[in-house]
Amino acid sequence: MSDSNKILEELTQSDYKYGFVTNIENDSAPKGLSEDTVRFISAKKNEPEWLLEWRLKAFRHWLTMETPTWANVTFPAIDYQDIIYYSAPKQKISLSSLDEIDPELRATFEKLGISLDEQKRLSGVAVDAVIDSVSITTTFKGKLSELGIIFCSMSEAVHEHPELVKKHLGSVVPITDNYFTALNSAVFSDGSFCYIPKGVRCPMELSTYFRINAANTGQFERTLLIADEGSYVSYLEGCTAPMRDENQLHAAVVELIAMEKAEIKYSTVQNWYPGDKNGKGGIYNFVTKRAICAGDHAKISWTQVETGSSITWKYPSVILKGDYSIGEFYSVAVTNNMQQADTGTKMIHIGKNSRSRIVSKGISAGKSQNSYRGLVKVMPRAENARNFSQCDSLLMGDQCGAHTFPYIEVGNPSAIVEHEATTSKIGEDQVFYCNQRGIDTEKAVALIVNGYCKEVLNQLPMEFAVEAQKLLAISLEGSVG
Amino acid sequence: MNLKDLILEEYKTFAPQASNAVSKVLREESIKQVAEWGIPTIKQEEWKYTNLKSILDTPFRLNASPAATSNAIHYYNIDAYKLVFVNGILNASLSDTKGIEAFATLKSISEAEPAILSKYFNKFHPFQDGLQAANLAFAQHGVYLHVNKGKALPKPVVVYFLSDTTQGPIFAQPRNLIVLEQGASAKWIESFQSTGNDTSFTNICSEFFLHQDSHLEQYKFQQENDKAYHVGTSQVVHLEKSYSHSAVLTWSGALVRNNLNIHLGAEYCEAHLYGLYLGNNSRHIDNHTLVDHAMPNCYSNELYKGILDDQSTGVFNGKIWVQKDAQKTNAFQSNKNVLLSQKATMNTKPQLEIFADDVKCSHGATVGQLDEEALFFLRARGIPLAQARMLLMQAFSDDVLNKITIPALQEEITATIAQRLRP
Amino acid sequence: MTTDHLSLFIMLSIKNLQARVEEKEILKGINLEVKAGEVHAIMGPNGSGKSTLASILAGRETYEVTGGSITFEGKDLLELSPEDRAREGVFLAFQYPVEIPGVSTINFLKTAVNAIREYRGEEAMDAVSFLKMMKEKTKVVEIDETLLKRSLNEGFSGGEKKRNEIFQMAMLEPKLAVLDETDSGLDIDALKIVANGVNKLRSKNNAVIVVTHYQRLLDYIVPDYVHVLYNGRIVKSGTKELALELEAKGYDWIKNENTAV
Repeated sequence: MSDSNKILEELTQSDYKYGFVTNIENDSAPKGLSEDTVRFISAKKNEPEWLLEWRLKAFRHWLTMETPTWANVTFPAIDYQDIIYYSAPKQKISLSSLDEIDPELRATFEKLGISLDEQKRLSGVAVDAVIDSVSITTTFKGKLSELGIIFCSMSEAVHEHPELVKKHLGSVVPITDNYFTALNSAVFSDGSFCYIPKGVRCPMELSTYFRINAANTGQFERTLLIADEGSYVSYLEGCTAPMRDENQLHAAVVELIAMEKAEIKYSTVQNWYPGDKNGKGGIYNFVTKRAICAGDHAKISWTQVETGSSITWKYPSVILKGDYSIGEFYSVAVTNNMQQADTGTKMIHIGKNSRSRIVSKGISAGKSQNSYRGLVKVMPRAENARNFSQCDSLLMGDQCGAHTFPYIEVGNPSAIVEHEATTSKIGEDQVFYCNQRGIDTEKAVALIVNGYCKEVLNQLPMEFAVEAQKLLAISLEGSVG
Repeated sequence: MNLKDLILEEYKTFAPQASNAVSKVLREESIKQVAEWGIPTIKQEEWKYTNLKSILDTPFRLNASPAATSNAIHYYNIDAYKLVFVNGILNASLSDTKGIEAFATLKSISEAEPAILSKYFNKFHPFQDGLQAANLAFAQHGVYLHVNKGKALPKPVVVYFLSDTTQGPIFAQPRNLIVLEQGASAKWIESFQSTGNDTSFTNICSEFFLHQDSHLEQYKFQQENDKAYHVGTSQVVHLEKSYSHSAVLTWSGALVRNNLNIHLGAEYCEAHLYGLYLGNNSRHIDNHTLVDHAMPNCYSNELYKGILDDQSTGVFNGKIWVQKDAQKTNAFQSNKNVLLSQKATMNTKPQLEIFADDVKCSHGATVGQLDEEALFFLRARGIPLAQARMLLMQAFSDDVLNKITIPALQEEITATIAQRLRP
Repeated sequence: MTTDHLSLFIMLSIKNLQARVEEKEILKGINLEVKAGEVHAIMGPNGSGKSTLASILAGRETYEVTGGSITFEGKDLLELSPEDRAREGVFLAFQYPVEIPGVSTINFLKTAVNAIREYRGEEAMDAVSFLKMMKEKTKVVEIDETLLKRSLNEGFSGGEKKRNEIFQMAMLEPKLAVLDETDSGLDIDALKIVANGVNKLRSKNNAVIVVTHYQRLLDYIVPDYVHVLYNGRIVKSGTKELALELEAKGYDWIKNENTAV
């Protein structure tokens, strides 16, 4: 075994640094899922009747569905009766100021590098912090509301802006879309809601920070983001969870709507607990993310850096309905140890002159399996649609797998669709070259991997990019093939 | 009665008089699979884009006795051994294999030694489905060609498969086995043609087994009429340092599905796969390929090109599969398509599945149009648009046509295709 | 002065070095001493082992050292990892510089410079002084700054790659620089620029080993000593005149002499 391989083995066992548990009291639903659970959640949130009906409809539909099996991942059947569907940290009801947040909770977010204290924050990032099932706080609300921007928890939006929620919830991802969206629609607990009014350019990054804390809990959040005509918003999403031996289910739904000439940039750094090196524990990240460019000249860009979760199953998609609309997908997916990822995107071209671009960089190490699955569909009326896809895989070690499953369906002769994919490994000559300049193997690998992912990392807002680079280094330290 | 029931019904009459080319156990097992799986539907991932539904209720005749003679076949103008099948059954009187004995054994499947067949039959079947099972259950009519050690067949073997529907719809299931011994080489050509105005459905399987250092070139030309349905599977198994070169050309037929599965089962093998498909009218052409790199140091290269006009549909599904032990694999795949009409569709799915790290693999797929710049250039030189388009389409096709290594055949097929591309 | 004292001035000492690749013996007993301030040229026909020697100095694992020793400034070089050799001041200008997509030369060098500084117990260089240093060095080796912002060596011409090697040498300020066929593939103008860069970096404190097939490079980087490597051994050593003699008589001269013995 070469030195570099030894280093690989030693370092891929590096610890997950967000694995702590916060000791706070929880207010939970009993385990199990039934209509009663759905009613319980709805009642807890004091929801209007229409939403309860909506949930129940989803639940009844879910009962008729089966777990999808087409993805390139394997896991034991999930016992949906063994999950807690609602868990909220016990808090004083209605906080009058941030100071009233449970100090334990505040400490948790400090530890995660997220300050909930607006005053202390230098960078202009507004945060909605969601722990287990509920939103704890949303910062910078006042400042945003001056511009007419609504940024709050979903629960709050249901009460404060029912017309917007009712109109758009489930409009991009119907409750019947798939098994996990039906489940989410039935039991979703909270999430973020955001509305950017016409012509407004959101002056700061909006961000939701998701944290699973309680044991045996599933997290089912729901994000709805609407960018009205000519507006712009950049939205960030981060996720972590404690280290626990059992698998925890995270089935979220994210819906984005961009009206005419609006632009949404949605960035995710997903670092859910990936399980230990033997594959014990970790989050099942079964997420449906979909966006629609509803108006002409709308633009939606998904950027994701996926390093966590024991299983990832997600395909952030864009429906390019408007003429001249643009969809982008930039992804880095890292799998190590026993992780499995089946991720990619769908670009559905409906509008004329719509354009899409896909850049996917998969990195597999350890005994992991990493799949890109994507669909580019050009509908007959999508004159002059263009797509370019680049899907690269990097393998580290001979125990892992990299898979590429692109589906390309073209029904218009004026379309141009191009797909390219390569598979490679980090060259020993590259590592030696770095060594010869005084850079050790571990740093060399980090350098080469960051270079490989550069096109995607460049899409992230500055602060996030630095974080993502560190995360990549931690996830892959020393992994050399 | 639908096709599945027709097959099951026919099997009852067929089974008692079946040859022992395939063991009774295997036949029984296969027919059970047909009963269980049925004819493939679009719900199966491998059949997602190709729907056989519309012909399942056709009153096909299975194992239909062929017409006595046929002048309907167009023979290629090359010096070759000749085999003729009518409705899936070998017609000895139309065939000419004089002199082949010095190099190879040539028999019909039903006469071949069951021991030999069992050694080579059905050894590689990555995607089993009801049609492949049906073919195996009825394996009887077909050719077994065994090229002896170190021998090179001096002439190519051309096999003409004629679908004769003058007496009604037919369903034919020929099955061939080609074995190249160590250091042997052969060129094998399959040509599909038809006569009559009724529906035909050919469900063929050809298996190639390449021993060490052997060399195979195989071609498949689909030129049946617009009532012809075709599902063909070619499986190539490679042993050490063997070489295969396959070219599959489709410019005819109502629905054509070509499966080409290559198994690189030993080190230092090399496989080249080429395909050309020209869709017009409402033709549906589906090419599925698999290159299975099971062992280290192998090389595969694949180029499939298609032009789709009118309401035609093209499907390409290419999978490169690099197994754990297959280090130092070099695998390349490219699929290029041109859409000419508003109603034409192309569905392509190039896939890589890699389980080894020290490999070089890439694939690319494009769907687009004829190069506008080039068209303009040609027109600026005085060439009318229609002719300019034809020139560009020919140039596009040439990359594959050039891979036909028998000069006279290349010339003939190129001319046929040029004719087809004429406005 | 005792011999012990003398050895203090010897920067690199190679004694009876033997090495092989797989089963093939390539170096069959090399002896060489290099002092600070000196320039040594190692010449020889293709396959004589020149590049092997360069690679072994840098610590490439493809080669197995089967005997002998290499001492660099009193330390056993063979015991050190490739990165530690670099940090001790051994620099190899690669015959075939490697491409690293997505990593700019600037970023690459900043990582390298700071890794070396950390090894020496020095503080990491801040961005401002690093860029200042870079600006100075680009002038020394006449390299276009825009090139340094691009991915390392990706899409560089042969000459640009070689110039980048010399630029890196300037940035890392090694004690011993080994130039492995740095002249190969260069036209005369590029060759002059590269040689000029090397000459500007010469000082009484550092040493250079120039590995080359052709004499022409030595017109521009004038060596103090010339060694001829043939069949894994140094068969002739002399001053710069030896290179000229070799150029005039060709390598067959060496080959014939050595097969005759």
